Amino acid sequence: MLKITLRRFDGTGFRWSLLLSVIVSLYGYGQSVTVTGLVKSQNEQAAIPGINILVKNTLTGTATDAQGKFTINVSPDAVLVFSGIGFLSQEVPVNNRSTIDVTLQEDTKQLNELVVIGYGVQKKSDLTGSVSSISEAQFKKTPVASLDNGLRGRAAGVQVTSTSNQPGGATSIRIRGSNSVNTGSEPLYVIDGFPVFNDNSATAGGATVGPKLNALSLINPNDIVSIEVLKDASAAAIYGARGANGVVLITTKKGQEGKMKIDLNAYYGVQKVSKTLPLLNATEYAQLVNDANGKVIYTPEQIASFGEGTNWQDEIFRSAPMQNYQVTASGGDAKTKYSLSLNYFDQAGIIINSNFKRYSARFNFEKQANTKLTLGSNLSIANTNANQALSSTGGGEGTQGVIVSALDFNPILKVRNPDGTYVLENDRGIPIGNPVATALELTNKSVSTRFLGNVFANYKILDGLEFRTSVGADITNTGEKYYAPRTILAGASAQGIGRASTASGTSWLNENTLTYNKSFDKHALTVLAGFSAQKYTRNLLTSAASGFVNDLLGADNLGSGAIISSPVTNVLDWSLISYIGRINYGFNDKYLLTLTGRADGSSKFGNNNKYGFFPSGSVAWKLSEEEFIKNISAIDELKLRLSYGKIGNQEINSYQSLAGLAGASYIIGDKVMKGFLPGNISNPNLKWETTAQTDLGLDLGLFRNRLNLTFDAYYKKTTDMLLNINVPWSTGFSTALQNIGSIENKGIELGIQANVLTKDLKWNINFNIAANKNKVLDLGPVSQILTGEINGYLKINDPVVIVPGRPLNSFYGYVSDGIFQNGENIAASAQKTAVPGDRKYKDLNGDGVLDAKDRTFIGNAQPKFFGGFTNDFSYKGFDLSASFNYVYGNKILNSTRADLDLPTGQKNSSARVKDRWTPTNPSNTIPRATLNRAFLFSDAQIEDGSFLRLGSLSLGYNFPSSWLSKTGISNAKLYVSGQNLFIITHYTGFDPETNQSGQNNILRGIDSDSYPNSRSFLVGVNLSF
Amino acid sequence: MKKIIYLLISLLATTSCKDFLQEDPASLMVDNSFYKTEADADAAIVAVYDGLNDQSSIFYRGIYLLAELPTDNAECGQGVANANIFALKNYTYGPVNDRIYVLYTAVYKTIASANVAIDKIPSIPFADAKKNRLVAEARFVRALLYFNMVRLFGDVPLVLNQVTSLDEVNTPRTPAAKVYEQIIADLEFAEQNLDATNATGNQGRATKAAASGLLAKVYLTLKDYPKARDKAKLVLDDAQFGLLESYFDIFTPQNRFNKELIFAIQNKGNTGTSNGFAMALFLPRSTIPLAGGGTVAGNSADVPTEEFYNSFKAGDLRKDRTFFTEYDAGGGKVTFRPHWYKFFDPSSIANLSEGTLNFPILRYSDMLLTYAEALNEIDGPSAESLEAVNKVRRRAYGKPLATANAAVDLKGLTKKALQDAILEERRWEFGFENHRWFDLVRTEKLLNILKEKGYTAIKDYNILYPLPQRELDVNKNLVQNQGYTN
Repeated sequence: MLKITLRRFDGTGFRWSLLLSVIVSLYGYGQSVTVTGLVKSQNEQAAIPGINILVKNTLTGTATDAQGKFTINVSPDAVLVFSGIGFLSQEVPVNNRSTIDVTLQEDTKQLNELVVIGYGVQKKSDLTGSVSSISEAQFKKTPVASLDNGLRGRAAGVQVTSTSNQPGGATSIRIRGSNSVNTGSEPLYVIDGFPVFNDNSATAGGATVGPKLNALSLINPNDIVSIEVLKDASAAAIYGARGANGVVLITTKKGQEGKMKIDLNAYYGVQKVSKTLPLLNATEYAQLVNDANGKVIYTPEQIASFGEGTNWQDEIFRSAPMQNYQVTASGGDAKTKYSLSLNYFDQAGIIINSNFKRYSARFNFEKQANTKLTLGSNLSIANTNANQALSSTGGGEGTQGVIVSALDFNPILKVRNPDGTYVLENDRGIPIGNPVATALELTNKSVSTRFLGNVFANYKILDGLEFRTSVGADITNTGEKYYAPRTILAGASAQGIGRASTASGTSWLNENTLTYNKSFDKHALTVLAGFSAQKYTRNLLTSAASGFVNDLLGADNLGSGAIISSPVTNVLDWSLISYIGRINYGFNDKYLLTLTGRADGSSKFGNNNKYGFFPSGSVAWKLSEEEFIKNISAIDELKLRLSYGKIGNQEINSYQSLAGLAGASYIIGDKVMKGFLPGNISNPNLKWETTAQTDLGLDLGLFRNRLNLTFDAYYKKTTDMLLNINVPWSTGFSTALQNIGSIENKGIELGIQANVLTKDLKWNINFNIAANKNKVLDLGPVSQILTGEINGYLKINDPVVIVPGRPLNSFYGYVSDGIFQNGENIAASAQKTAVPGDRKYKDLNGDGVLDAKDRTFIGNAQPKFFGGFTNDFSYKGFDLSASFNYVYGNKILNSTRADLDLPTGQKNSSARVKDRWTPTNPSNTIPRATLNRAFLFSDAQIEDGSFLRLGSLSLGYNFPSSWLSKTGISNAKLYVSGQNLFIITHYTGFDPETNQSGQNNILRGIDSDSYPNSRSFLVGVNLSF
Repeated sequence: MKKIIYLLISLLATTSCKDFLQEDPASLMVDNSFYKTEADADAAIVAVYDGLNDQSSIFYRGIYLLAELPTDNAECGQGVANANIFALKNYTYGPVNDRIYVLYTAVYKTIASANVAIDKIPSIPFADAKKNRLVAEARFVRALLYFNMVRLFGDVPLVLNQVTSLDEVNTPRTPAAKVYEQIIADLEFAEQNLDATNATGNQGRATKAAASGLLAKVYLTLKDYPKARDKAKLVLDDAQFGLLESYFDIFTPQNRFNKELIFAIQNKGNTGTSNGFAMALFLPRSTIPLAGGGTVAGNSADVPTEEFYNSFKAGDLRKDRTFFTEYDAGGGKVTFRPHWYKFFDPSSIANLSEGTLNFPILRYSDMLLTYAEALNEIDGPSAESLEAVNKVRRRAYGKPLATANAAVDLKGLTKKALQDAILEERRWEFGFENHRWFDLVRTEKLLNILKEKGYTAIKDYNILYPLPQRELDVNKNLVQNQGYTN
């Protein structure tokens, strides 16, 4: 076998190997023939790629290539079984023939493909819950660094938002809206059966500054073959106290029976920042400074000499390469299946000196030990290496990110002094570090390793009764280093600041399930019962030092700093015990019933409420099996689904029910003494949040399944919300965590899949749209939840307020009303101390005074609807695919713009400020120049965030197998693709898809100097041997 | 295989899942396991004191921004970025002001620490005498904080016990008179139970004299002058305390425990304690070269007014302790506009947040001037009241303390003139010690003096600060101070 494999790499030896394998076959099976042929569809008479061909009663087989052709060695009396999604299977006896052309009939009951559900698989046609499936082909249309990015626009009701576009950056995903105020609302990811809550801050050590890296970027997306999103209570209740936010099931590539297949996928591309912000140039800025100061700071001669000055954005952005190489070897025989993959991904950031690299390996293996026992494993390990550009916003003073510094830095200044040293800081009022120096000299580095895997045994106890047990582990280790050298502002005064941290997390899981499958008469029954235990422990160690002799050692030798900060260690753990049960019952293949229940015991909750039970039930009616529908020829599939259930959310930090104490230290008797003080109020009744969801769904297949529709309408109500309720400070505490209040989400989703053209020229459309309405119903004793300050420079306080009757993420501020003009009667206005050129606000309560009572709700960050659509065309070997995604009706608080539109001259401003109010330029949009940065948050900082984006456009060519037959390559595809090629939006910031506050539920839709998006072009090749 | 399954099922049934789900935090101290031993009691008191030691909230800058900045003593330097700070200076602040909020929250957090100690320590088994002393320390700190609160805000919620239930959190404002009653009760308990002298290893704890001294100030504020006089006298007669010969030496890091400091917040750099001083806030900005290259990382946020600087009379040695206008940090001498100098620790010039210097809360000279003020209010100027002021003055001008000195001594003043003289003396004596606003309000001169000096925006109701809007939003039982409409 090895020899054959080796020779198969040698293109000219291909025929030899064929011959050799024929000989091997002869030895093995006696007489054998090589059969070739073409598979076509009956309706369209077009070649069909990807049809599986199996020798009946064996696991030997092959598949058709892109031209619908196949070759297989079989015994002359074998029977070949042709099968493929969307076609009826056909058995063809070989009868000693060497050429067999087959015409397959389209299967009008297309929904027979298997989908992964929690703890099992099910025929798509038998689903009673709401499950979106994303196939490998769809998922891989856009090259992504992490799997969550691949979900964007692919499934109705699943909104993916980048929290940072830095390489390895994180996303925040909401499935059917936010269910919670405080509790983690990211979906649960289940990777080959292993549940992972993607809390990016839990896996981070804390030494680095800026947006957290994405823990999911340690899962190689190239290994994924299917993604299922469980959206309703029926589907997700099997995950109990962790299912309320929806569940994303990830299945990685398993070996297929047959000869070893080697797949090589590679792409190389270049990214550029997709948009820069227009700012004032040096000349314009100098005039602003003079205006704001009301005196000559720069003389006319100086101003005349400034010209354009330094374009700081140009200084920090660059064309950045990205590349990905994946090699997969997979195969197996009747009893053994394996898949081994190696991946290298390297993405440079569009900001100088930032990058992200991943090395990963996966080995999935399964062995049928005997007729009853199957053993196997899914093992993966990955290592990532990220140099993060400092992209946090730093507020008014101190350390600021590279992006905000580039926007704010005085354009008159140069990057370097004449002696070659960096210009240290902005010279006009606000100390801002030189962005180029920060980008190049600051160390902000993160190295992570993640092992995720499980081993399992499947035992067939009786016919239809199977026991499965698995043990798995998810081990993450992240080391971070930060060093601000003395050459940049952040480290100048402290003579170097260094930090290092290590975070290591281990999650152990044992799951045991019994599955019973039985069909009799018209009844079909599947019963699942199981038990699972999971335990997570995380250890954190952080240390810091400053005052280094020079910048040579930095964070690699913190002990060499003069001032050592106390080290921080921290241990966090939680455990979960679960009992699982599910019954699927079908009658006459028409009426389907699913009952699911999970009892979860969680360590995170109060002693009075450790356990919770999460039941769900659903029914489905296959109308298309009824005679009165069967007669309607246009309808192939028609199914109604109804589900109801309660699922939980336990994503709070550990130990919250306990009255924790906080540490203190004080000098008594000239010595350090340690003390403890109350940190929070205990709550022994603390429990999970519960989301009750009703879902009504309809699946419809029309015109020989050329048009498929999936429609869902749902209502979700979350009760017992875990709220940090503000309590009066006179208690000594700011907030207390309580199960209080409720929130609802209701919405509709529509997915359409249409095969518009199916002949030689194929055209498929995948379209989805979802609308979700969120409303806070009750906050218990508090009338509102305030959200604190978001902009360190402008001190925007409570820009988002949560009140019952309003959706989450509602912006709250003043209503602007233009600018006070000369001659206006200011004394009669509500802003009596204003002068012409100041921004005017509406005195909403009409009391003649502009004060906090005049604030109102001025927009919401949640979209009215969102979704995506993909057009796929193929003709002969060419394919063209365009994926769009869109969001409509959301508002963005453009905090970056709020800064940039304020003409203080203390830092640079947007080009819009050229149109600022002056006595001779009665602008109504930008106020007068003044050093004063007193600022009221109003709708002037709120923008429409709607957009339509061409997320990816790719053109590929599949080389015909006739060309390849002599090369040893079975499939070859060459493609070019572009990402983020255009976006239609009114948004003035870098990109409307922004969420600076990461996975936070409350502060969404806030753009504060986030890492800009990029546009990329790449060329790739996929080869199979 | 069946056996294995039975085994598994029976295992599941018998394994105690309760233990598996029990939270036993490894790195978090919890209430249930604490407050059990004498050492725990000590630690609870450490936390109470530590609440006072914070760069931005209660003392140091927290009180500076409310009691020094909004007076004729100070102004916003070029390093001030926060609009709320300008608002405090310009008397345009309202209930939504993050600096008022920060002080309010930190004060109540520390009061809560004190309340827990007061509630829990009595039932911990150890010697009663020490128990009473520890409780007295907590009650002293609680009184100190409520005294600030009642002066800054008037009526305030008076919480005296640990809050353990979420049902009774919306405490309304208690009339100021009642708050004062509690302050006096706490201080009287403290006076009874605190040590007269701190034993070695206990320096920095409140003592009997601290309680008496604070009582004197409380009574002075309440215009109960005889009691103010008596309590001040008690401290003045305590042989442990007295004026230092040199005003300069009161504030040197080497001299952190001196006889002039009756109670001070303890502060020592490079100890890993969250440190009180943020020298960067008041040191000149990037102008003083360091010996090893670079400049002192001052920020010039908190600076004195030129008027205050110039108000010092020739020969007053306090001027050069309160301010500086030139400095050589080893990289060459530079000059600059007047900056605060009093709480400057030259040894941490390269690491400005690690200064070592105790922050005085009660000084001997404060007792002298309190005594003089009380006497003057009772009987008008007398030899005794003038002598108390003159001691302070003689020291200020470098004269022998006990010897009358015609050049600096006050004499022949009317009652009103002495009132004015004491207020002025306090200004010079306590510059940058955050007394000015309290002194101006106590003497009912805040409005007049500031208006005279061009503070046009000040309004009658500015003699109290507004309660933070956040508190009114959360606690519907609270009513805002008159004049402030959120």
